[in-house]
Amino acid sequence: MKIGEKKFDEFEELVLELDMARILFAEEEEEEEEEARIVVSIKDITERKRAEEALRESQERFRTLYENSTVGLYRTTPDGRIHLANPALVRMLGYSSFDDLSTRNLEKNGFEPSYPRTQFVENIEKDGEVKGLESAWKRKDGTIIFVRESARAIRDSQAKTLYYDGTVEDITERKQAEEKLRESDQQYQTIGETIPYGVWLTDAIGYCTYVSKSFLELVDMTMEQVQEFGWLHLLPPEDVEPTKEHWLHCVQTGEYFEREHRFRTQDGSYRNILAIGRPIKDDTGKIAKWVGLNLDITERKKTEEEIRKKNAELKAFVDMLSHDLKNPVVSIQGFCSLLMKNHIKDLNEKALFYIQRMQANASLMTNLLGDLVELSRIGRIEDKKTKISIQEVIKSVWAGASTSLATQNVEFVSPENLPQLFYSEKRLYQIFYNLLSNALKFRDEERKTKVEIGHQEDKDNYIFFVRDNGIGIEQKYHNKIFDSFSQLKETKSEGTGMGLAIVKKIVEANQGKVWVESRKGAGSTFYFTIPKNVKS
Amino acid sequence: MAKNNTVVLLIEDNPDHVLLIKEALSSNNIINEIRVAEDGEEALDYLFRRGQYADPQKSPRPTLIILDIKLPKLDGQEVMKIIKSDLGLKHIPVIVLTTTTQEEEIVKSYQNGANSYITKPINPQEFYDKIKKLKIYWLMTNSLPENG
Repeated sequence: MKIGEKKFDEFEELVLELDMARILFAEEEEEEEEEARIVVSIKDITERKRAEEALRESQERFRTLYENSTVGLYRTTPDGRIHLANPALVRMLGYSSFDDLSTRNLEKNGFEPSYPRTQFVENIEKDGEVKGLESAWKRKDGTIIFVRESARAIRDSQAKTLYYDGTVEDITERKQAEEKLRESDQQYQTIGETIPYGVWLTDAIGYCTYVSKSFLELVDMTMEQVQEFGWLHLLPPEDVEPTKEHWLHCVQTGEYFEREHRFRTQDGSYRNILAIGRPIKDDTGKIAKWVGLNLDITERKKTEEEIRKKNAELKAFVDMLSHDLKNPVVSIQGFCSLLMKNHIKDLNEKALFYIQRMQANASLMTNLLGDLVELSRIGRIEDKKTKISIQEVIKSVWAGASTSLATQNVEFVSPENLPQLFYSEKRLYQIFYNLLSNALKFRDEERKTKVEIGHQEDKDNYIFFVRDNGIGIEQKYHNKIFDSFSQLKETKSEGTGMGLAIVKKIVEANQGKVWVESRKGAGSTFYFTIPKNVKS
Repeated sequence: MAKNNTVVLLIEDNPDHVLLIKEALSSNNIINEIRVAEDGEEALDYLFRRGQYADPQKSPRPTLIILDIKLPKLDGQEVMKIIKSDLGLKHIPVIVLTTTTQEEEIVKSYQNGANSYITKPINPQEFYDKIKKLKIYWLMTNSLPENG
């Protein structure tokens, strides 16, 4: 059979349908007319029909998948034409239809300049595919979206690229979140760099994973040297073990880490560093990592040390005052007393008067010493605070005043219901005693002396006052009177001039305020406050 | 009861205070003798019978020691520590008599074994009264061991 010797597909096919069969009618080529024959073959194509049906179904399924996919699918050509794009991709790029999109050419426009298409082309031409390439695409309206793209080059038998078939995923949200995170990371990093000893990070088990560059520079170490527990070598040898122990304790318990280190710097000197670390927990409440901060407190330490030294000096000075200066006064007083007691008959009136003046001056010196010592101790030495009854204190102040100050013919008013509060009893006594003795000292001889102690309250403070009807104080002296050694020469009092300075120091050492309201000739009212939130 | 051979060792560097204390102590005849050491080292020489006090006649055992804290050469607290760690001396009452009112000095004194701590009052009458009371209590009210 001639026909049989030819390839079947060289003939035009004529298909006749007969029941479930087909008759294939092939015609001899016209040049071979003389021996024209018709060969009819009948073939059962049930199988083929079924295959076609299956193919159609499959195509339908793929079509649905293609149409409904949330991932963008495309076929493009190397010269940038878009052959196919599924609705997801059309939507993704902000076009109304595929026709609308297909007018665009990827080679000409489509990519954000920082993500050129050349990279895509390069990769795909080299490897035949790209996988997970992230790039920025322009949408129709010019806005930028970030996509993740995988594609394969479809080539013909000559290895010429016909198409690129690819998938596209919109990752703009993820990308933006990443960008934000990167920005904030950068911010924190920058902040860390501005702190001389910087910030640090460790993992959950306490191994250092990051420190600021500023830190590495100051200690002259590399990140490799510092990481894990490398930073411990910066400590003086005797501090290494206790610090490690404490750090691991915090890591295990989640307790906040706070410790003063001495870090050796590149010049060999040590700096005092306050390290503060806080755990960061994941969603399950487990510690994921630690973040920390190093603060250089060397200067603060130095200042503290200086203050400590100065305090010690001051203390030594005050001790000297209270002891060495007191001794001669004891002697003067003692000998004056012996003179008056054993030799009074040898002394005339004038001599007696002089001795009395010596005694008065020795007394003043005693008081000055006492006040100076007090003044230096207030605020420097912690006073013991107890719950005290103001009423009892005022009672004993008045009793004390009655034995040493002229209180006869004085009208004294003090309220009954006064609060109980935490304060040093001794200091509160000193406040009231000094204010009361001032009220009595600067009395107006023209009228009967009246002294009133009172109390008010506001939200945060107890306010106490001592009011007199004495000579009063001119406005311009209202601040000056609280200075040490200031005494307005209004009376022949032999005070030390330190009473109000002591009052002010006590009140302020206890977070209170003190002030006066007064007019010359119209009496004075001294106020002071005690905060309500003072703890024991 | 007061013994007829009562000796008080006064360790005090201020001669004026020595005068005043002596004056107050000698208000009656309880005390036979007041010996004075002017600094810490002299006090220990006296008590351990060294140097100028080698002769026991010159250094009779005191019934009572009155000790100032701020002393030249050897501080009063050091003197006290030595007295209170010596078997032959530790039974002798040591009364601190000083102008220092500092809390830490008082605490340290008792920790070192002081039997009493008295501050010198500036008021002469108080001063006199205190010394007198001290004498009445430690030499008349209180019973002391016989000296070895």
